[in-house]
Amino acid sequence: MSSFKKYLLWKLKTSALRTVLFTVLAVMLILPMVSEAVDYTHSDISYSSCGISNLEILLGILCTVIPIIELSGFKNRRNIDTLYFLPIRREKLAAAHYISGFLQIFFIYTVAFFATYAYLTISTDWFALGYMLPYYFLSLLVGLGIYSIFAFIFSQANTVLDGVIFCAAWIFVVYLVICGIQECIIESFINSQYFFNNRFAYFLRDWGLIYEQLDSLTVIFYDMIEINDPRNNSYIPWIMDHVYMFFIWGAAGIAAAIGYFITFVKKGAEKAGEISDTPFGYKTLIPVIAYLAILLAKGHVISISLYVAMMVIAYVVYRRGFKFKKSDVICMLCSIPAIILSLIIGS
Amino acid sequence: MIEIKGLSHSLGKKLILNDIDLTLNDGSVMGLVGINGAGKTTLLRLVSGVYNADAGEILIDGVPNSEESARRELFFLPDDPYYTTYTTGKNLFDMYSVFYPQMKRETFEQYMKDFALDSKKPIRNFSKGMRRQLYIALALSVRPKYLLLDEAFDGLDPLARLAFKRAINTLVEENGTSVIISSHSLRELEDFCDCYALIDKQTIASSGDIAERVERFCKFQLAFTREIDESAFDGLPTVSVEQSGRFFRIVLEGRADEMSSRLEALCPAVIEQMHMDFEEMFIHEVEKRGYLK
Repeated sequence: MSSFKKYLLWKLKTSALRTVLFTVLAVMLILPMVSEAVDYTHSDISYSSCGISNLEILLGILCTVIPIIELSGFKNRRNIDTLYFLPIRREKLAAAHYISGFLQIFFIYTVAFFATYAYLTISTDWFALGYMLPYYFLSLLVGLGIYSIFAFIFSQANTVLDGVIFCAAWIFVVYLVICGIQECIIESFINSQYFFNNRFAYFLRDWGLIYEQLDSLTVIFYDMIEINDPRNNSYIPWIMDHVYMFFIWGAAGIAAAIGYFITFVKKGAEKAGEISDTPFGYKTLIPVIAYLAILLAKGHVISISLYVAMMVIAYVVYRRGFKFKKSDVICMLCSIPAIILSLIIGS
Repeated sequence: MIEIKGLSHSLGKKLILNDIDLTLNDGSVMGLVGINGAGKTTLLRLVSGVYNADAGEILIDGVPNSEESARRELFFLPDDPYYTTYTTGKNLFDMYSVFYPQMKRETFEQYMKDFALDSKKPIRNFSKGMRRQLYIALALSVRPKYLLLDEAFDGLDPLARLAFKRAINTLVEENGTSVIISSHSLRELEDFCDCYALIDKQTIASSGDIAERVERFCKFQLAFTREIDESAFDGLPTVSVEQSGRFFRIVLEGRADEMSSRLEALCPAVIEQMHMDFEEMFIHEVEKRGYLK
């Protein structure tokens, strides 16, 4: 057996206890919610009460948390000393951790999913459960994309804390950028009435959130799973017209997976524990989020003051002290035009 | 054989090692010495493949150390190995045996028994020295062809040091293992290293056979009946002179018999040759380079 296979098996073996604990926890949380849902009358149930949305939330959480757990060992220089000298190529080490993480997600999600499936099958005939299987496979595929994105983002950081902050920030940053463009530029300076009434604007905004693909998939499948859905969900054909959004996020997932492997192989072990100077980290996130938050405050002085203070705190976290670099000071000073623009928009 | 050719590496913007050339022959035990921050750990990390070199190459039996096959022959014991709250000796053995199939549980357990350690207990309950012994037991169980040890004596009590040195000697004799060991305990290194490499100013400042190198120096204690000062030794290849009244302790670079006769010419009342060890040689080497003065 190759060193890769042996290492992967060892990884799975050592994470088995954690996986089982997570699985038990997931099932314990989901089943009571589903059980409560089937006590409702048929007309009251929604996709959020039949358990599918719980599964969606579970998958979203797993795809965010597991890469952090799986890769946090590489943010510790002492651990790197004991791992990188081993006779296994970095590509294989990266692959072993990537596969091990996703297999853990697969196991937890699969058990929780089929526990829900079994419960619904036994307790009610309201659902066309045959549609749950394609939903299961497609949600796993979407989950793989989300997992890859978080694996890539986390791999960019040099410490666990930085990695967690980057992951948290990237959940909202695309959404914030779209909101900023829509509300502060298009709405304020071009054609506010048109954009306010344009459903596509809101659609695009929602799709800026990393989890929206999972949510939309769930909405589509719920419509098929629940027999005789009493609601007229006009959102479904709307999503189906924009199915390309799944492919855009899918492409982002593939790019992230490639980026993860490149980062893992090329990034020097000596970076572990150092300041995270990646373009996917503080360097970009702080100014982008701060400027957009200031613009979106639309002249509200208290909010603007708060955002400026938060920007300074973010730079302190970034530099682990008050030793700012010239580029940090320039970025902080550049918030002045953003404040002026915000005041103009607000007036 | 480990061959290091033109190796350079920087950490951030700081150049740590510059154009290093070094060879470790099979069955040799090399002491890697240098002042704090000289780059000993960086060199070991580069050889073990933890760091990728900025320039140059490291060949293990002619194969670049980036290759799995080359690293299968090598084991690196870092200065402060990582462990989690629940890590036990048994866990570590299980992990390392994935990569080193030659590891035998009985051998490991025997070493653990020798060090009076329990492989089932979490490492967090161990003292620094006990943790060091556990990792040494692992390293010895691997029986690698090349063993890299960073600050290996750190935290070990005198008995454990002795046991460790004996175990290394046995490994070298039985397995033909080559060892690179970095340490500040130069007296310990002298006991079982046959060669050394001194890192200074980003490069290998001096290297070679320890005994040969030490023999290049000699140390004498002298007493005079008359008042003299250090200038009396001008013209001699002095490395250091310590004066206490009419007593002198002098280190010279050169053969002891030749130096002795040149000192006799100064008519001392007493002249006595003293033992010169590796640590003293190291101190003189680094003093010569402008440190410690």
